[in-house]
Amino acid sequence: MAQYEHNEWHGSTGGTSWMQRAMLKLFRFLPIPLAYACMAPVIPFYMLFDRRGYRASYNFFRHRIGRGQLHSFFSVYANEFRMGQVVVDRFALYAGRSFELENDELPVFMRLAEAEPGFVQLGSHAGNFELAGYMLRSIKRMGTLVFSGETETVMQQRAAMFARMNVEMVPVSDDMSHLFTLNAILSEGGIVSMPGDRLFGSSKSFSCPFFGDPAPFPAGPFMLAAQRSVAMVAVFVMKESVHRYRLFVKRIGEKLDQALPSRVRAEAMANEFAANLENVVRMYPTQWFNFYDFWK
Amino acid sequence: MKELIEEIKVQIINALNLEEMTPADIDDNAPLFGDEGLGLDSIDVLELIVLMEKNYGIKLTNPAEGKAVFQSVAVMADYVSKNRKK
Repeated sequence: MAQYEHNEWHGSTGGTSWMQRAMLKLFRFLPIPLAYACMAPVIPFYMLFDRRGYRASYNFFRHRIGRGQLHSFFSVYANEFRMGQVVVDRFALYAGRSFELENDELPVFMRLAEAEPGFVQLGSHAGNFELAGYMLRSIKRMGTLVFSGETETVMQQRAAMFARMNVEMVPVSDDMSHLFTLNAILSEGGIVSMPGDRLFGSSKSFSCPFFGDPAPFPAGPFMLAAQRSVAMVAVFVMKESVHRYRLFVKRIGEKLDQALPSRVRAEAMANEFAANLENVVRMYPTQWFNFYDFWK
Repeated sequence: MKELIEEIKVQIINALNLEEMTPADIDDNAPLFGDEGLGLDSIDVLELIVLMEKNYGIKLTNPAEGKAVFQSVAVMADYVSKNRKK
């Protein structure tokens, strides 16, 4: 069966715009666990009808995590359910609800945020990275790269949340104008936030060891940091319980020799990011939300 | 201007690691991006942005202006000659 590949997978939020607006209204008063409970019976339909997503998830648990057939089947359910929870939480946040954040590693972020130079913050499609944008406050200007495939409702809510926090959305565009904006933010000492596990704008990638096999990671984010010689952090926001998330902040490329060519440093940073991502995903395997064959 | 064009071609070859190319292989007026000409992509734009800043002190922050500058080596050279700070 054909699988989604990196450049085909857009990973936008499910549901039509009016459904999402209805969710926003509901989440102003609906208890979050009740929303999760409503979602539970719908998951098997997703498993049944989204065969490509099911296959990718099943293969991930079966061959990458090494679970048995039955365990992998139930893990797909848990994976889809977790994905639903993360989407629900995002809408709950848009509707004004809040979550606890275990943030032992916050000082790693704050040290960079309080220093003068700009830096690159990398996210991933594991856990709930979008929450980092709403919860990591900084006086620095931040530009976050967003994909244009989301509905108007999601984009409006994001814009409203970000406007309160000195965060600017930078849409990926075919004419590459986002690169000039990101570069300008970095050169002015700001923060650039982007996913480190998704190819966008360019098909250039670094092949990095990931769960036992080489997988393509986008060259862009790592080249941007290496060329400008700015710091890089990987940020993971993982769901722990109904109302609680845990923040992981890892410095990437901190010990690299800056005299090395930028492409060499960029590749080393990509490898380091992949290793950190694997560590976190091994801790929270049901929060791996790349529903396509990531290794193709 | 001819010297500046040659200088920029050498810098592009070095920055983008185009080891198999020589300055003579790059047409002064060929488009840098897309299927024609050099066929560079968005990662290469980043290299060119940094190249302009480091070598000529030119900060390209306006997307519209940036895209226009990177049309071809000849256009880049013309822009550099008028705006260079180094």
